[in-house]
Amino acid sequence: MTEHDDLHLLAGAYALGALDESEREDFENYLATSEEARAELAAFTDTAVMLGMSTTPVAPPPSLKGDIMARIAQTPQLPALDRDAAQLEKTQTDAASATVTSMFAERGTGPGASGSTAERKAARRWYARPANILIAAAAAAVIFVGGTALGTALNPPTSQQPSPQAVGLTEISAAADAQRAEAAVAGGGNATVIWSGQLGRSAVVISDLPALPADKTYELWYIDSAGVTSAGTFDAAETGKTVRVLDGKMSEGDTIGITVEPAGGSKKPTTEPVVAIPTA
Amino acid sequence: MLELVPRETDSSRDHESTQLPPSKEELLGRVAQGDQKAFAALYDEIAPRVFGLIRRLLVDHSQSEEVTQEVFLEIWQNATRYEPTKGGASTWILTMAHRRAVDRIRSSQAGRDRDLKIGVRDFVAEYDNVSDAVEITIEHERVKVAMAQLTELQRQAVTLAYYGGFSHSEVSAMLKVPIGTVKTRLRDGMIRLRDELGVAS
Repeated sequence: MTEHDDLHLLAGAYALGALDESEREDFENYLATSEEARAELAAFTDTAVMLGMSTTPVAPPPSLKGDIMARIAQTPQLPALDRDAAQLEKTQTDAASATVTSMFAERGTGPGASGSTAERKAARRWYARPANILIAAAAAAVIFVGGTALGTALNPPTSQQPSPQAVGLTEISAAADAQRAEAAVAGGGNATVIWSGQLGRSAVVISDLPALPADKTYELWYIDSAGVTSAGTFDAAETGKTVRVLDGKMSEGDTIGITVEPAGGSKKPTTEPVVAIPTA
Repeated sequence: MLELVPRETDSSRDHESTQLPPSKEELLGRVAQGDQKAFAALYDEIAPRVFGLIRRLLVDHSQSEEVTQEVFLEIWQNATRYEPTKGGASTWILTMAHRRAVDRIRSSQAGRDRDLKIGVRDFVAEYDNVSDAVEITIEHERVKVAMAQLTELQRQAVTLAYYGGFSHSEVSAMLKVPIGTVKTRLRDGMIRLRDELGVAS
């Protein structure tokens, strides 16, 4: 609480770009936990842009445009996070049906969610910002399976027999096309998704995942252009790494998300994800 | 040679008629489809804003060109992830430009070289004198009025942070006030500006 009280004071400095890198990260992690902070930051960001717009425009040298055009012609674009979003917006369809953003951000029924316009705006922005906290972290860290992190996960100190989860994880990580991606979990911990498109299976390995109160559970989701599908619930391991093989079939390109849900799980996410990792 | 360019017309024109040129949001949508012509049009629209802001922070001309190039590459690569319903294209782009300029200041000698050339007083005074420039944007007038509502310390801290790209610890050293004070002045300064500029909170 005290720490959060300190962190919320950083909103102004963050919007103005005055934080150093580690504080920036601390603040972004804090943002993930506070709708109020996101709402405040959204307004501060707009305010900072006004400051930017007030500087005198200066035409860059004409040669710069040629250089940039030449470079973009050689530069691939990042895959869209949500292929249907643009189409939905074009056709003025209510975007609540099929986008990742709306699934998580517009559904204001989660704990702490409230209906104010500013907060909804902030929640939407949380997914829309260029420095998207979760996705950027995930995209930055796609690494092929190496095996070091798996070793610990597969041999939990408390059991002699490998758990069914560990067996599943071994099968997935042994697949010829196995890949992995990592991202920080909002609220604590670091999640790695390991998947095989050939097997259509995936697993998460999470270190330092905070335990939830008895009336809450973690829930896994496959997120694709058609919507969000539950992939089962799980609780944090008491010690060491939490390992969970996802239920159902995974398609390459799905984003794997984790939310906090009421015990027993939900049919659709009711809160914003604590982590979302694209498999692409 | 650099030259000042006329301010952009009000972006609300984009919604008035389909005969008018496409909005920056529409252009970004096309860029997301890999449309290089749309990218060129977007560049023409926003590059003076981006370059003006970056040069304001970096001062150094060739570094400003480099960072502007980085920002436009980032726009090209990330256009697929821009969603028009979530905020204007200018907000998306200028936030990115400011972040990249600050990153450059922090990661290179540029910041330190620049600090030697420009003292606090010069820095804040430079802002005040921009109104003498040939072209004065509507935004500049609005921000100037809002800035005048801040306390001296708030105004200096906000100006050094945003236009100078100084970290709060640097601002603290330059203004000779404790870092905790800088943090709170930056936040209450932004609250004041937000309210004065009528940004919905």
